[in-house]
Amino acid sequence: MRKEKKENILGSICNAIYQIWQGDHAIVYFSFYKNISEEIFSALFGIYLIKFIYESIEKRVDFSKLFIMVSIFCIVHVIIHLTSAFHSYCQKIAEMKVYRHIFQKVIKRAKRIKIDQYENPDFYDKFSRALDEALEQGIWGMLFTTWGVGAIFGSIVALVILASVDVMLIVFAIPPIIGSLYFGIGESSEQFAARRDETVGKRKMEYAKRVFYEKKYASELRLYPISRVLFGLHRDGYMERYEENKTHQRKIGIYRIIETLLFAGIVTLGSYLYITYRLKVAGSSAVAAYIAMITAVGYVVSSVSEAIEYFSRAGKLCMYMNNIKEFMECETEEDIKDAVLPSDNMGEIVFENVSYHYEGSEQMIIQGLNVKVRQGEHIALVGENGAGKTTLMKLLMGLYPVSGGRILAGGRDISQYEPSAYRDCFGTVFQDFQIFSLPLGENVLMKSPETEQERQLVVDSLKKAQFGEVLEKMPKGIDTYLTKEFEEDGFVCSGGQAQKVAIARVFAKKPDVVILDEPSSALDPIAEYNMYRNMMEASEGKTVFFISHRMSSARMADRVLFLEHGRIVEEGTHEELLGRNGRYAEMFRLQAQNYQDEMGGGLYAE
Amino acid sequence: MQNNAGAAKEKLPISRILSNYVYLLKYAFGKDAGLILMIFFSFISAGVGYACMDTVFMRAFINYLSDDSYTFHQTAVLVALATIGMAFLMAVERCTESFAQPRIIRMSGMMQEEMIKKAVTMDLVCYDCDTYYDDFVVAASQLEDMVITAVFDLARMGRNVTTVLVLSGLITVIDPVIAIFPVLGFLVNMFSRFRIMKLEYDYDVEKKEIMRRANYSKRVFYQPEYAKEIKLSHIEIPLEKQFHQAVDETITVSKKYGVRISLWSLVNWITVFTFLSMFCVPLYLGYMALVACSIGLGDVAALNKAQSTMRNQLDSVNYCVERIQRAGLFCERFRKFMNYESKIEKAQGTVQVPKSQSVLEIKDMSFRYDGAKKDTLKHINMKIQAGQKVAFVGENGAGKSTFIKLLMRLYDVTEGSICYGGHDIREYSTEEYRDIFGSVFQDYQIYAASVQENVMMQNVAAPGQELVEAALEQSGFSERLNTLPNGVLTSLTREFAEDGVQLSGGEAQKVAIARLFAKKERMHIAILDEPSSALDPKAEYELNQNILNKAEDATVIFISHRLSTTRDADCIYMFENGEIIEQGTHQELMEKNGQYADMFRCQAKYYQQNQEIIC
Repeated sequence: MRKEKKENILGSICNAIYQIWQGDHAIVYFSFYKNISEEIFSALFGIYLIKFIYESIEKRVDFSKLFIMVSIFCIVHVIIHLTSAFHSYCQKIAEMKVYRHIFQKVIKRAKRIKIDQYENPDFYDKFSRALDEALEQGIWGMLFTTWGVGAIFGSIVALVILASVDVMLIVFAIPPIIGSLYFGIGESSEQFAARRDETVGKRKMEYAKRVFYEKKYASELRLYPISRVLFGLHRDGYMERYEENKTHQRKIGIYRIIETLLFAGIVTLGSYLYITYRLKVAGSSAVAAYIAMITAVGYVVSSVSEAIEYFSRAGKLCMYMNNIKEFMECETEEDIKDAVLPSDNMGEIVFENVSYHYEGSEQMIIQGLNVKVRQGEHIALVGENGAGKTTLMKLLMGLYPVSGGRILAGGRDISQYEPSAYRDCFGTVFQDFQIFSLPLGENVLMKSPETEQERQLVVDSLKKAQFGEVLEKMPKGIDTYLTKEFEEDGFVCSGGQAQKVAIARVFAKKPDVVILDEPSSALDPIAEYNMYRNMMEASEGKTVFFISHRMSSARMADRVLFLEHGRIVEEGTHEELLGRNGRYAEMFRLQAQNYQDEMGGGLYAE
Repeated sequence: MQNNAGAAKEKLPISRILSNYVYLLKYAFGKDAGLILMIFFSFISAGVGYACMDTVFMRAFINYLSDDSYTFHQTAVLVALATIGMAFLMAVERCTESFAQPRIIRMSGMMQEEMIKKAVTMDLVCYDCDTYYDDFVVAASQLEDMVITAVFDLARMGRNVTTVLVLSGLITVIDPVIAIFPVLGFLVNMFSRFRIMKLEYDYDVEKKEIMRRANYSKRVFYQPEYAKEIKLSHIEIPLEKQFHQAVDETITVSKKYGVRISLWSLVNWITVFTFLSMFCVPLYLGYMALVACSIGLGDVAALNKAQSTMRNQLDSVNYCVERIQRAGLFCERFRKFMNYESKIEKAQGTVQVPKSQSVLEIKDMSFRYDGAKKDTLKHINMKIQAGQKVAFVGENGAGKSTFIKLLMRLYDVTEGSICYGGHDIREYSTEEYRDIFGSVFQDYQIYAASVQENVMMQNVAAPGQELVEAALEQSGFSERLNTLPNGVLTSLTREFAEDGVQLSGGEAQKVAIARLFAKKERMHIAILDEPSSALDPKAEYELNQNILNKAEDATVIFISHRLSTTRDADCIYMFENGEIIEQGTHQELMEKNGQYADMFRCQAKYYQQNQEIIC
């Protein structure tokens, strides 16, 4: 158990240093050099020079000799300071270099991480918060490591000086070193355990606090007495932490007492008595040298426990970097051998007996679904919540691998295509589309518009998406920054406007296949109607899939697929399905009911 | 924190920082006085003990050794006494840390609990204010560290000062001149550190401001909501560009500040450490011992130790002052927060809230958000009879949601008044008044608690289950409830429970709606802000049926996009730009042939063309 943990700390230190090294070789070498040389110097100064001074006084040597020695030390010291100052300058720049390096690795990876990893609820927790701190902590972790190594070098130097005066003195340093090693490591693994056991309690506290400061909860908290439940949760959180911590701290306290007794008993009492014995009884007369050595024994012991302390802090800090490593090791989409690039035209799309269930879940989201979609066909997907409509679209875009069956596009299994090129064929608006804190042009084109043509394309797309009016009022046009994240005068989209921007992306991309997942939910009816009309016009000859709760829009489709429990239960044109008088017709009627004056007896009257 | 730019503007007078610091200490003292006293005692006694060990004892020891008149026994007794005393102090000091840590966790937990309790009493307006987030989040997240700082650094400072006093006594006895070096070093150190700190602070502010762009770019890549777009587009290219620009700019800034910080550090190190401490002290002592012959080896060792300990202690004072200053600055937020006086939340009221459904009357009411340039709502007049079913319709941003928040007194009106049962709602106790409402918002929330707590919205004793189940049945959640492992006791969200259930959007909405049904007995007015947007048509239909059946005599206010949902309301109010532009029953509004009729026809278009087919 303990061994495993040690390896873990060592492993994370190595990992952190390796990652930093990859970003900037020089800073790693430099840090080691600087801290080792500093520690060696401080051992020489603290022990050798002091011994020299005391002996000079004892032997009454000439003052000039003392002056020269002290001056030499001071010159070396100035050189060391120069190195340190230069190091602190380099460190600031290295931080940025390493950050850049890690960022590039992260995004390269993010493009390929399987999407269901993101949907794992721990994912965000694990990476977002941790990754934000990783770098800064990692660099400190590396520095602590180098200090630790430095402290070891320092104590070796001190031991050598000690031995040169009286080999016996080393004996007094050894038991406390072993004691520090044993109890120090015990203490730091106990600290580590304390932190680990605290996380649940901490999370409870953090969650409760978050609810109280986030605006989205504010109204409900004031209208319902739910806050009492959360107060309870918060209190549980800190009381759990209190209890856990108390148990661990009790052990730590015991370790500390033993360590103190070892130190005070053996080092101080033992060495002082030994020195007294040597001088008073054995007849040695080197008082100065022995006095200087008292400091040396203490120095060795404290260097060793410092080194342990440094390593344990380094381990703790470097742990943060493990998150980066883990992120890099997240399951990615497999490389496809002999990946094919999709041809200019996607052609027919065929779902053959397609099934899907989430990893680790038994529940089938899609079960044995078969359907053939001609090129240029406009398909409406209709069904209750959870019928599998969105999942089906994600399967089509290859965001999830199918669990059974296959999907053919242009006569080829989609898993054979090069994923990025394949996905370029789709233009999608999701329910939960995102607006980026970038200029409007980038938000539409999803890359920087470079040529005049591209800029025009952005403007045209925005107009088609009904954003034209707003655009005209923007002084900076498509260079207007969206969101106030970085620009005071950034433009904040309302829900409807944001949706229009998302829709403009599809117009700008001119994809083979258009997928609209309830794109109109935040639009008012007139905007919705216009948006659909534009979309359909722009998509002449293109395959379109759209999902909508408002079944009225299903009328525009060439074919309606009615999904239930991951299966297609009815399909046909709107008219056909109504004629069939099945599930679709029932649902449509429910919705239509209140729009028809003649039907009377609306909801409220019943 | 992200919003550190705000911190740059903070400049507080020293007196305020100190008074803040005292406030924080007093607050902590009120929570656990014993702990704080213990920390002080152990720190100060250990400090004095170490100082004596290094100097008084050391001098005596060397003198005993050099002087042949002291025997081995006498020396050994001296050594044993000193060592045992020191071991005891060390043990006490180190154990204090172990003892203090859990107590501090509990203490800061208690303080944070008071903070969140305070948070609920903040008026909702505060959330619209940019600094609210800053004040609260920063205060809450740093509280623990700051309490530790406040207590330990003061204790450390107490130790530093007493140690320095003890050492000064010793130095005065032997050779007061030696005190010049540490004191001079302390002054140089204080001055140069002050410069360095200021530079570092400016650097930090500038860097953070630039790096926000870079951090944003990075964040996008691991946030789940962005994952799909990242895979389906090439948005990483502009994001990457933004990142590199920010990093390049930061490197420029780092170079600028790096040189200045390094130079000041050099000045500090070379004068304080090399010149004063390493050069002057040994040579002065050497001179006194060798040339002037005024002191012996024991004095040299004791003085050398004394001056270096003194310098360390004085440096530590500098360090503590810095930290105490930070704690004082930090505490400004905490204090501001804790001393906030809410206008709405704590209102006790002078009149009893009517026991039964009453008339809700809005008289020439206007509302403007703090700092906004124009009114969000303008001169609204409305009278809602008890038990009436009314609907608010209109485009996004027309002011409907703000309006209902005013009705529930989440905000106070800017002009005019809202009256319930003949009294201005400001005459009621806020808590009692709000209790007559049942509400479901567009952005309803699910909490990391059990299903029944999410429905009842409070701690529930076991017998409440039937009510919860009934409410869930009415909101159409029964089917899903039957699949949950522990029924209404199942934990929602995976925040804490590994086996917690994540509800889909539609399911979550049903749970939120069940809150209304659970509250039926006490509810005078039900408010539904687009509750059906995530529901499919069938569920929507059933929901509407249920709400209307169960709410029988309660007043119901609907907000909806789908005009089909609202058409049978007793009265429909159409909002546009904060004004009511049309009102009446569906019939009246259709006949009027205005905006409402346009909107309705537009939505109905497809359905109506198919009338023959359906019928």
